Amino acid sequence: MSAVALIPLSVWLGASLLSLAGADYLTFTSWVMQPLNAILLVLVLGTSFYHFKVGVDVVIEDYIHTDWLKMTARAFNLCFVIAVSAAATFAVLKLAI
Amino acid sequence: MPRPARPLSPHLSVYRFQWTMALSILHRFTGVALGAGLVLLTWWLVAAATSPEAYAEVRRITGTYAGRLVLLGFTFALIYHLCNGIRHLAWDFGVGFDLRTARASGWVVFLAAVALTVGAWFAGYAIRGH
Repeated sequence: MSAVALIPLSVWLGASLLSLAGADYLTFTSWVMQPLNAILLVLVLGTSFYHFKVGVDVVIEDYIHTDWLKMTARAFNLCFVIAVSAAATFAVLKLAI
Repeated sequence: MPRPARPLSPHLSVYRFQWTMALSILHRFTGVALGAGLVLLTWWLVAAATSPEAYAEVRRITGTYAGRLVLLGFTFALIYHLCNGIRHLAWDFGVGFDLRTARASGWVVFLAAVALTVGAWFAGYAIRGH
């Protein structure tokens, strides 16, 4: 249940983003470099992208009734999520390590 | 492929419009919008990992009025989806599923989301100063 995990994770993310609103480069990168922040960022990103993937799959199931189109849409959804989450996770690790 | 000769869900046009339905649509809409929010967050992180200049550019764009409007929408989408998601989880456990409670909890969730969004932005401006 990614939804349950996202309750504490997204509250943490929201509070963090609020405290980082308008932060300059040094403030932001040194925040990401903190091990606990980096770990939680990777977790919240992974969980959110997974949650988005399964959610959009349901939307696709509901509105697209042509088999090949449905499969194509789901494949695009999967590729999109993998590509963007890889970029986001890499960025966090690059800053943190 | 021919459409199967059986009823397909969702049959939106046969329903009379009602409040809980708007909230349900909003849950789906904010969910998809949060996908765009994830791309935004990724853009921010990738820029920070690229160079101080790339980061400054993101900061400049998100600081404009249009940028702030998008971030305000993102804030509301996140808070609403979170609050309504908790409502959905309660339903999964069979709690509050009767019409009266579902309508009332819908109001609570919606108003709480609006209040928390406004509160978060007031706090943000208070911390930041401008």
